[in-house]
Amino acid sequence: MNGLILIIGVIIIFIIAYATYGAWLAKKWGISVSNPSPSHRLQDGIDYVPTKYYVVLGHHFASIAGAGPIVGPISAAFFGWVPVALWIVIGSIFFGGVHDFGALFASMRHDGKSIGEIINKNIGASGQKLFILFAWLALILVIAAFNNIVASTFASNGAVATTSLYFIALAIIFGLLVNKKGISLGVATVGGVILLFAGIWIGNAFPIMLSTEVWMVILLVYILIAAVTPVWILLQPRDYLNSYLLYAMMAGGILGLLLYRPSFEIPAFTGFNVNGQFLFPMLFVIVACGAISGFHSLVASGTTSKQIDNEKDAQKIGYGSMLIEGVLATIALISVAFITADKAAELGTPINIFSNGVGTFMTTFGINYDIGSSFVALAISAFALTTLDTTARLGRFLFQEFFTKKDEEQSTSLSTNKYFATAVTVCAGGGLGFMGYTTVWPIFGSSNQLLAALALLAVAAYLKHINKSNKMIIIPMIIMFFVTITALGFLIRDNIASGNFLLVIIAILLLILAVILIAQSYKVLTKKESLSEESN
Amino acid sequence: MKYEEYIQNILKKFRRHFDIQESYSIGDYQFDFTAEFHERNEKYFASKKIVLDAAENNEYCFFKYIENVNKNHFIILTHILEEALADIVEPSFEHMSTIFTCIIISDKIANDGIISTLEKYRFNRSFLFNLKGWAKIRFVLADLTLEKIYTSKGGGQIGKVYEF
Repeated sequence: MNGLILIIGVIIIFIIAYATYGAWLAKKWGISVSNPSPSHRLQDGIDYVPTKYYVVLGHHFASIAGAGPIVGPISAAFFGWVPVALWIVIGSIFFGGVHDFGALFASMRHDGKSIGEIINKNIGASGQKLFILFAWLALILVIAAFNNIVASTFASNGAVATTSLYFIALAIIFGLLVNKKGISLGVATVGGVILLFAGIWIGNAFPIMLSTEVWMVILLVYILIAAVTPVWILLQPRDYLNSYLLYAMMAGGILGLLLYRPSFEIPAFTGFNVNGQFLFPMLFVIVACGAISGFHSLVASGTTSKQIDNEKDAQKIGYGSMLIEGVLATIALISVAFITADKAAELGTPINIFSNGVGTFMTTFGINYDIGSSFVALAISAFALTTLDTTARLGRFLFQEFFTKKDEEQSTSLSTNKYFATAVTVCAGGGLGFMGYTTVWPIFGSSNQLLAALALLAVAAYLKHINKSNKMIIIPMIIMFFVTITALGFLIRDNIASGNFLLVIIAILLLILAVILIAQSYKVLTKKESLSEESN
Repeated sequence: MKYEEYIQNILKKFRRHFDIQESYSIGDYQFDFTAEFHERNEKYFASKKIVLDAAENNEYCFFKYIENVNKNHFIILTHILEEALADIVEPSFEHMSTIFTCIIISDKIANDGIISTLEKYRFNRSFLFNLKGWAKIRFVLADLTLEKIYTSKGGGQIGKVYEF
């Protein structure tokens, strides 16, 4: 099999799916230009702002894409490239796309409220607490997985470590020059991008070599600081510069892929049971973000649904973005499929494998391999770092929220102190990270998919209430509940056997919380009057 | 250009985004107009109560017409605004920036070095190494007779806003 054929085939299938299944969903749900969007009905110039679809699409895609769609397909490639590719294609079209589009649609019909609020409203006050606890547990798994992945990448590639540290310093200086000193954004951007690429050369010239464990501790200290630091100091300027890395990486990767036309080295299919890992359900939880991801509905729909100019744009943004992410996941799959298993083992982390792949593709148009692969590793590490500190920030707030009493404006208890909440969240995630990302990633995937199933449940309840067909939601929802609950059962069994009792406790808690939430939500789903006030 | 025409032209630009108030006092000193802009950006998750990050930016524009302005007027204004800034700015981890812009409008500018003093003036203050944001004071001097604008250091960008 040739990588070029796969990527072109996937893109063609996605275009057809967008024009047929996507359009069918929009028709079934009654999406119409005649329904005024929240951005017009509630326009306030702050949250509710009508925005052109291509701007919202860019924002939405940047929010949902990150290291997730890259790590999942590479980690699952031991099942062979065919099952992974099939799940990316089928998952993006019939699961992830429907989930993101449905969540966005339901949010727009609820005055732009996020799917989290819709879930909370439907399952009551106790459900809200359970939901927060569920989300917090899922977030510490994200910290555990990404901290380990980034630290392993730094340990195995000192150049990327140096460049990433340099990038943090550069982002702070960039932010101060633009925000405080009033340097024009255009001039600062040109200078910033030149210095950014110069940093790749510096990284290769002066690599920092430390062990994975030392990097994990350094990164934990970094996210402790980043999670409580004002956003304009580091996060905003870094995310702005990151966007140039993403554009350059995607353009370079696709062009390189077209010219290199890699042939696959890994087998098409290795079996339903590979070293005790069953294809069902593990494939479906390891490849999370490239096929379906619950966090898409939580993070993105909160702002996206308030900005969409026209209800018709929801298909382009909700369904279209998920399909684009499916393309990114396919590129990640190709990057692992064209190398041998020995080479993959030598490279180690998914970030190294992906950067080796795209770095190799880019040599076809004259980019030096060391520079190209360092550049890609820097881009993915930067996204993983963004994920880490955003997650730590989010986990901190959820922890504080969980312990804040109702109607309490200002709490003085230790559990609601921001530094304490951050430290607990980061330490819990960091501690789990020492177990290795391969151990943590499947449980993270399961929690993410459970969240997706819960979001689908909320959308299904809404569609039922407005007398619209919801079978396109119910089928993937049931499959996702079945997949994730089975996977959690397997993971509990495996981690008991390997003595990872902390992960066992987390998996059991996720399972119990999910079952309670399903039971509570099911009651709401069957009540006719539950959503009457919110519909339309 | 007459003062009335100039001030109305400028205020027209501000009305869309600024809150405008006539006759504003700081202590015993009275300004003809003030224009305030307050912006708060938030990123939240699941519920509006769970704010991931927030940043506040504030700008206060103080307009003062002085028929014959001299260096002494300018120095008094710098003292007033520097003291007022300490009272008005509330540094916090959500405070990003506060900018004071004082626009002195005059028919006649004294030849006593006011222009060079104003052009050299710079006032910046950082709160906890910028972690609690920063504040700055800028001056704009509008010469109604020559229809010319002078700005303090770091105020060059805003000169265009006040042009005739």
